[in-house]
Amino acid sequence: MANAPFAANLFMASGNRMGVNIIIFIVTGIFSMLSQTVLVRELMMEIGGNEIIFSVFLSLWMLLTGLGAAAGRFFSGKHGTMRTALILITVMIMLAPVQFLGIRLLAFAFSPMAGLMANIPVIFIIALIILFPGCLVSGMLFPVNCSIAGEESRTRRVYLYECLGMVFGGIIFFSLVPFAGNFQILIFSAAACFVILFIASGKRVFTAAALLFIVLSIFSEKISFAVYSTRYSPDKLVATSDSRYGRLDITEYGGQENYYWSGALIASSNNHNYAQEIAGFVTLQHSAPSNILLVGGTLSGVLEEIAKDTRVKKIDQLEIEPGIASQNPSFGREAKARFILDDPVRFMRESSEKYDVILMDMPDPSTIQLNRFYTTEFFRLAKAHLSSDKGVFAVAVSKGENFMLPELAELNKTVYSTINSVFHSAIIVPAAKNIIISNNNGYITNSAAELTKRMTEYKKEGDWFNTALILNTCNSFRIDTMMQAVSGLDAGVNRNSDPQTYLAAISLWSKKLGSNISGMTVMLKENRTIVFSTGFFMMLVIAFVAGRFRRSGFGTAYGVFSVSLASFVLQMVLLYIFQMRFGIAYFAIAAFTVSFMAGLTTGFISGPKLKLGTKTLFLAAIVIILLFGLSADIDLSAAFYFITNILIACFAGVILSRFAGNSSDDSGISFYFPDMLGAAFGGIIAGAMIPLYGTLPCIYFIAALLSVNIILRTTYR
Amino acid sequence: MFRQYLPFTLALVCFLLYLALFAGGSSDDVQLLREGMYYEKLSGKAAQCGLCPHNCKLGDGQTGLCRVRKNIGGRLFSLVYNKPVSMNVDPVEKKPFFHFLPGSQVFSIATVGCNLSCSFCQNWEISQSSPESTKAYDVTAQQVVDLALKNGAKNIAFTYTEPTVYYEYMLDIAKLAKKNGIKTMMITCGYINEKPFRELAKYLDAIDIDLKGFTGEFYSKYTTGSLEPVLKTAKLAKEEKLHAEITYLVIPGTDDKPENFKKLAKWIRENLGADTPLHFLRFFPKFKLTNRPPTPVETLETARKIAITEGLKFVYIGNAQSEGEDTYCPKCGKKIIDRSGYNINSMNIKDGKCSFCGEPVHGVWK
Repeated sequence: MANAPFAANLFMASGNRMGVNIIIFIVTGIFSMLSQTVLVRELMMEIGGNEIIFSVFLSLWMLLTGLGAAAGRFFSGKHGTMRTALILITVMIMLAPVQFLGIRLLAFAFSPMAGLMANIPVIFIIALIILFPGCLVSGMLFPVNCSIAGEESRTRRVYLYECLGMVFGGIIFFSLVPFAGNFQILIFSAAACFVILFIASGKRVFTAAALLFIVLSIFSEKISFAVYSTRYSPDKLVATSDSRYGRLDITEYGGQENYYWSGALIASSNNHNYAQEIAGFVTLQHSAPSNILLVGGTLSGVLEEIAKDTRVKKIDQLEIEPGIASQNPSFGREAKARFILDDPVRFMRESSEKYDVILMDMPDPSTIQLNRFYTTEFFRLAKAHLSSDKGVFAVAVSKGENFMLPELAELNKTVYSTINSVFHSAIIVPAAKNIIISNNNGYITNSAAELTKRMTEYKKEGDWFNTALILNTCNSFRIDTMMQAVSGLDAGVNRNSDPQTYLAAISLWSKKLGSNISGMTVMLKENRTIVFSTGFFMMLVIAFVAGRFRRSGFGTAYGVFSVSLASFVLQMVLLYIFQMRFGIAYFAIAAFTVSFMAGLTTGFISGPKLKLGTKTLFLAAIVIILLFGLSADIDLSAAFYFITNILIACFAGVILSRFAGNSSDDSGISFYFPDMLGAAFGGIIAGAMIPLYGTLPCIYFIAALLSVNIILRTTYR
Repeated sequence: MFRQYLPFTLALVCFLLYLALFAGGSSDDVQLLREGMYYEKLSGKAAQCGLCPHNCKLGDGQTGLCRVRKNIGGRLFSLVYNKPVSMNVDPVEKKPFFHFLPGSQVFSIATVGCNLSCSFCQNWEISQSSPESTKAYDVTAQQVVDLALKNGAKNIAFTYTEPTVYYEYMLDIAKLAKKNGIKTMMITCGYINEKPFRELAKYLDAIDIDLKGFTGEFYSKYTTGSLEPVLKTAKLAKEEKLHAEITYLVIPGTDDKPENFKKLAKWIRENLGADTPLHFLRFFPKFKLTNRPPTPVETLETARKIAITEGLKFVYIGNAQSEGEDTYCPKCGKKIIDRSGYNINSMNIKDGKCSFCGEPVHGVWK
């Protein structure tokens, strides 16, 4: 006993072996969560993408893990020994850095040119190759862990401790990310996990593994820098820094600095023409623009151009990422400029500042994160910050130089109609980007003659922004083309609960990749009733077939599948609504994920003790979901969303614990596989349904999906 | 055990089938289409297009690489005749033409389609689209000429996408424009066969050949074409006595090697003449190449210096502010055209000669 590992002593109540087991389960959870977060984050940065790609990655992860669990039954039962578990967990941890490096290697192999967008099949193939080995091993661990978990409630116990490990994993990642890069976090965590495994098991091989990773962690910064450097070759990577929001990479080529945010190019140091054009056209829309707010575009050079205007006294630059703000040449140097580090949604809600001009120069709303700055709710918040009716609100959106592609026209159309739903008048200036300019008193103009007159009057002429440019930009052909593109009765308004602009941006993105989905999205949107009816019919078919298989446990499988799917989708919906209303997106992801896992764990622990029947639990869950649906459009406090998130997770935990307890097989696969499958479908459904139909139909769909369980349990009890 | 999850798979298949059932199709009405020029009928209702060096062999119902020339029943049709998707009035400097009626306005026109699929296309919205998926105007050749006259444009430019793919429409417009005293210009990748080009050249006034790179490797790696036919077109343009300017899009990290700039300048000097204007254009991230930064101005200036050193008289930088946008007299070295973007601030050329020293300056000045 004197030599017994310290941690194992902590679990003496349940026996030494049991204590080691619990540590293995928790470490499995910790490292699964860490490697999932790091690898999915890295995949997103390397091959780009939006929430749909993110959903696909997560779904793929769940699906492969589920398949791993199914394959793992060969290692369960009498083969499922502690030794097998320790080997598998070692392989899982060892694989993660290889997977990390493999992402870069594959992206390089599949891309013929630096900076080229990867096609959808390529994205899928890379993700599949990268995720497959790790997920397979991680999945295999579940049945093996079940085999060593003891005789009673083994599935429930393993699931519970893995969930607990995931909570720790989430906390560890978000605590380390401000100080370390993805690779460093992975290496450091691997070393820590091996140390824990050594303490728990006393096996010396883990000391060697821990030492190897400790040595690696010393060089991890240099390794990750070298890996990222190859991504930008022939540009020279001069700096890289991670934060909770993403990663900022700065490269240098031909004397020019280029800025990449989470892998995507956001700006370069020489933006002279662009900056002059945007600043010129916007400031000419106000007779005395004294106080200006710039939202985004921190490195575009627009601030410096506006600062040259003698009429301008103060410029506030709103930027969420301190690393980007500090790269602005005016940061700490330009007397007129003040940098506000905050989320735009939160700033607009909490600040009382008033501005003559608000200019939004953000990337297009190709992600849900960005879409929240293009909604009617955000525009209303911005309008409240205008100093008077003369106040100008302008948004710069991508345009086609000589033609408006239908998908691009749709994107502009939704932004234009959303602005029109908030302001009295709106015009378009088809400059370097389409600048949609609005106010409430009509001073705004896109007449070339009037703009030329104002340019002279306000002494705004520059070497690029001049009469010829104004004539070229605002000639009748270009203005008419743009107005035709954005006008129309069918223009949708972009709302928090119905992200029309995001959907248009997704169509545009798919068009670039050669997969035209706009026709399909229109069809799916127009035939909403048919789609939902078909979905519901499919659920009934599943319920019916499930009944046939009940004797072999399919009723439980369907229950687990639907609960897992529902909780995943609801978590996404909650997170989505929360971010739309309160911003602070990345903190929210961390907080929601960790609190969800904590709620799930709590529910799982308390599930067996609750006296309520499973059917009653389902009914209660559906009522709560419907009540949440009814409140979705009400402006509620942030706490409401966290409480709802935890409540839903608790319900899911309680119900899942019942199913886990009922799981008849020793390997736990009949529980774990549908759980993973449900989460995989949940990811796909959330990624597709939110942009297509908005949040409310998602909620009703989930409620309907869960209600099938009541029918099932009534019919087949 | 997997039998248990069969319903999930079945449900997914049902859903995918449901989606597939809603897919639509399209049809062509031959009566409304214009039969293409330069093609050969082959056996079994096949046809071979002879317009560009791809020389696409098309079975019945197939469309060429350009997406706009289709074999319907053994006859080749243009799907974009009278179907422009983009019409604008631009300054001639935007094309870019710096030695062809500076300061004049150009009526620009384009249909969809292109015979090179460059992943960095700056006009991908039109060039990579197909006629079926794009809403076009209905404008006859005569109406194009009338619109140009109405808008006070001295020139008509076939631009934005690759004009070769709407050859018949371009040819008819060019013929009518000539009759009406309007000059025509083609902004092209130069990927066109000799016979159709010579026919077209009879009615054209100017050509801007847009080189995508200056190595065969670049063309084969990043486009669907090859370099040789493009260089041949440039030589043919000289033979046909068209006013020719050359543009070269400098993409950082790909076609920006100093030895390429040197080879390019040398080739132009030896084959087209030292007074052929050459424009080095700044690349901006577009289409699929959105993660490459814009070309550093320093690289463009290096390219310009190399080309001047190689003996070219008029070398410009486009899409960026630098002294490379002005014209200098090759003899006295004085600035003879001062430009700011599309603005002509001052012009010191009189009767095609430098106002300071009288040196003839290559170009069309009135």
